[in-house]
Amino acid sequence: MKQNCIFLHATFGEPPLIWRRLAKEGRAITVPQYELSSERLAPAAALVVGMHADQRFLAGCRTMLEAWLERGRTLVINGHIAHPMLPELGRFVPPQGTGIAALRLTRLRDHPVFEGVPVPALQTRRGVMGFYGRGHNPMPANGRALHGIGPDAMPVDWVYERPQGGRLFVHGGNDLWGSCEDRALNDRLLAQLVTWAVGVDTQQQGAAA
Amino acid sequence: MTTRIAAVDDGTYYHHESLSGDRFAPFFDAIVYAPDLRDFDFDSVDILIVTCRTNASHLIPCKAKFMQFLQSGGTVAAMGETNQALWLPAIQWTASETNYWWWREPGGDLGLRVAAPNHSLFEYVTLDDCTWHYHGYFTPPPGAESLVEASGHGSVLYEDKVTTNGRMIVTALDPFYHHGSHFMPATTDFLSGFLPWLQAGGTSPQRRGNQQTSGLNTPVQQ
Repeated sequence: MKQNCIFLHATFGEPPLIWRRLAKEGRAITVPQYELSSERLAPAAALVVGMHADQRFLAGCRTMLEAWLERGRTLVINGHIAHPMLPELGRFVPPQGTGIAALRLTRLRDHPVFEGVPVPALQTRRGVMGFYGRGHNPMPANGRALHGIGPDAMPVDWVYERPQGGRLFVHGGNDLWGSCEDRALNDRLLAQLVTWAVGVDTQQQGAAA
Repeated sequence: MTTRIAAVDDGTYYHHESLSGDRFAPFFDAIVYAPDLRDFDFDSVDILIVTCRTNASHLIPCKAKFMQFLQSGGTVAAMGETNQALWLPAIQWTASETNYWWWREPGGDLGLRVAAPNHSLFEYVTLDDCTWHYHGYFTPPPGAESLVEASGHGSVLYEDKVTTNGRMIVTALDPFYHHGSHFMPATTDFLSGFLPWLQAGGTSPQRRGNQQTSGLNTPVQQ
């Protein structure tokens, strides 16, 4: 089975350059969002949804996504969830409180996606906080938070092994690959995200997180 | 007579928050899911807002419908990052580099200026409300009125009542995106004035109330 990664292309014109580069390297393919189908998903190990996705459309794809995930695949979601496309997802919760404290990031768990990407590189750009995330998407019970935000370390990004099969990586901010001021770190983040997302043997559901 | 306003929802989280969130939802008589735009009865409203970053692939097939709506006297508010030149007439657009950091520079100034201070819009919004960043500028056609200019470049917000029988409000600003992302309080201030101005028909000025932004969405300097 081919272990590829689909980036769901939701914006007008060409897909983002960083994804076109990955596609050129044969590490991912881009699929226009309304062309998502069981047939397109079938050979893919991972699907990456960006912050500009039509979530109303994706919510209508729930049955298809669940069936695909149950075969041990990985769904990566960036952005605020407004239209939950899976039953375990909830609507985005805006930041509670104000100022620096509400935006401060805490690394809660090491994860291969963030290897070599220090928290300060995610925390600020030109000394300004708030780009990585502001608020969070509610995490299901048994989810594992990777970074917390604010004084209560609410899960701004998390992973979840679905009991029915498959796994989720959810980042409640702008697209993860645009998080850092340093483009090399963004490239690294995306490469590690794709490697992790496709890296699980699809026959061994939930073998790694 | 009540002004009926519809707004386009591209299914994104930021459109959902801006259009269906408590703060601005009362302004919209209809929310049109972008893939359904082709079937929407444009004549059921007076004003159609094409929200920031709506994918132009939904708009281009409706080019004739937009034109017909405008020729029948309708108003189209075409917000930023919607590739207006591909679906509206007489649009001349120049993309430019975006300065996100002007406010961090000594004497920081994005360079925006009010071009028509007596226009009714400015009974509702201030220059500060229009000031966060822009991704390019327009050269309005002769007879159209530039409302906010990027100094030395072109217009980032103009009103065109001459190209068609209706009215086009064309802008490079993207407030629905940022407000809906809980980011950049000026965008909330802009919508807090812009939407009441549209609702009032854009011709019968009345001062807006004292709504204040929450401040939750301010970028914070460490």
